[in-house]
Amino acid sequence: MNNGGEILLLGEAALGEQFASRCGDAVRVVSRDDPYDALEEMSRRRWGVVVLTAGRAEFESLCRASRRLQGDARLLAICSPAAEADVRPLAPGVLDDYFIYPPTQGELDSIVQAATGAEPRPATYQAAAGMAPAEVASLFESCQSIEAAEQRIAAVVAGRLGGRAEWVDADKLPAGARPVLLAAGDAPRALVTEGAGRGDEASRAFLAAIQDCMPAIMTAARRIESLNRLAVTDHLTGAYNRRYFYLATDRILERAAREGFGATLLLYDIDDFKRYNDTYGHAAGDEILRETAALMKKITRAQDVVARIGGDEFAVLFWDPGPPRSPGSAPLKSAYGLADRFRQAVRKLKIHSLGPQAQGVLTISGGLASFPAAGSNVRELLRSADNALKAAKESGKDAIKLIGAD
Amino acid sequence: MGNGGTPSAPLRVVIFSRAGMVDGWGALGGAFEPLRVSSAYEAAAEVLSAPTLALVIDLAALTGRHLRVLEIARSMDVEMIGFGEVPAGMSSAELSGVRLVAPQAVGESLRRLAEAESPPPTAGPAPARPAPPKDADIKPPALLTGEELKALLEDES
Repeated sequence: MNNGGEILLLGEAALGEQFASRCGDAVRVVSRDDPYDALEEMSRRRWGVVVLTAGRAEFESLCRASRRLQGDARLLAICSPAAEADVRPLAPGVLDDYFIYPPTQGELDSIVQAATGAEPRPATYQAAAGMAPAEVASLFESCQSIEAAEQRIAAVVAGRLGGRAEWVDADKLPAGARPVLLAAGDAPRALVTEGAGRGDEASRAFLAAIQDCMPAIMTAARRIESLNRLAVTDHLTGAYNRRYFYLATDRILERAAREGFGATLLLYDIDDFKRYNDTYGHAAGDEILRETAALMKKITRAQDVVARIGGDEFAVLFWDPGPPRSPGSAPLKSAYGLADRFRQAVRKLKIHSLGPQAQGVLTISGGLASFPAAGSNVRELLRSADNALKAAKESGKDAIKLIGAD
Repeated sequence: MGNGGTPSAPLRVVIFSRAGMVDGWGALGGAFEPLRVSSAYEAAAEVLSAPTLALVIDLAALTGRHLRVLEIARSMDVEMIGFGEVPAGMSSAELSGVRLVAPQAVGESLRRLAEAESPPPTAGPAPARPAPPKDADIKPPALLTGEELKALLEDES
């Protein structure tokens, strides 16, 4: 399935070397500067990861051609910020994902994991379990998350034994229940069946074989979960990244339009951030970004989406799938309240790198835009919120402004 | 060349042309499996991905940057049929091996090629390259995972 630890990079040799040195020893990077050389390379064997540099003419066609030859590979693009608008519509879809050059260490880690981390499907399990190939394959293909893997295993077991199968925490097993499978880990889990026993000898052999598979399945699922988390997380602050914010916000807004609930987007940045960076150094700047992001996550509710979308620029989507509300009423006020509480809390924030004399000088400005009055999609809302943010800056900073408000 | 199929298998033909240029060829018939692509890159990928009888090229759509697609077809022993206006500056050496025909004669040229293609003596010819991956479904990556995501997006039922 995977050509273990090798990445095919379409790009200049120098970029390939740079890429290889940053990826470390875990992978070998093979670079081809000519698109046709790269296509020929793809036709020779399967690659775990193929990285295409964007900005070339007919890039979308090149992506489609690459996908044609590498149906199973993780197909990624690397692009400059200027080229992002052209690349974004291709992922996910023709491309699996893309990242902005230079990639963060977190992004490189996720690429290396994709190139090296695919768990080989152990064919011996199939024979040992007496399972149909489709059953074995389905167990491994479900490993996008622990929960998905658990559900799939439960379904396979229920299908074979009859009755219902359900995972419970092992320390909360109902009295007298005899689990048919156990998943070890920090919080062990047990699969219990209802209306079915362990069955005949063939069924017991089947369960034993699945039990043998469990560590490999769960390890793969854990790895993919971690990989996915890396792919949507800003490495410095732990907030979501820009890509996730766009994707999640658009989907939430689609749902909001369908179900008639409100949503409000806050765009904020640190006032005079450049001055802090220049005066106190980048470590201080990083601490400011980390601390303010942590504060925002503390203040927001579980469902709100907090993301770092630029240098010191953050976006937050407040949403509430409650009963329908009229635009500009409760959700907006509530978002304003949260945003303003955050603004006030920032003033009290202790940033150690700034020293004691600088305490209290850190401020933020923000702009709020509500859906659907100020925009019907993420781009429109961001544009409106950006206008409100500009108004906040012009009013003397350290302020939250609503779009459309006086 | 290498159609590589059994006598009854359709003959794969990759057609790289501008929209509308293939109209008027007449039906190629069930003997052919025509694959329309809209770029030279995709044409190259199709030629590289499976045994192909012929590559049909709308020459006016071919730029100097994409002459490699012809080289690839040549190296794979794929017949090349070109029609339309030859771009200025393109040399006969660069078009070596390309049968230049009138647009309305492409269908007939393909039928002649098919007739000339002698079926292999036995089934199971060896392809020139390892079997390429099948045209797999393009699956979006599971970007949005984790508990928060589930709470946010997957409770729509």
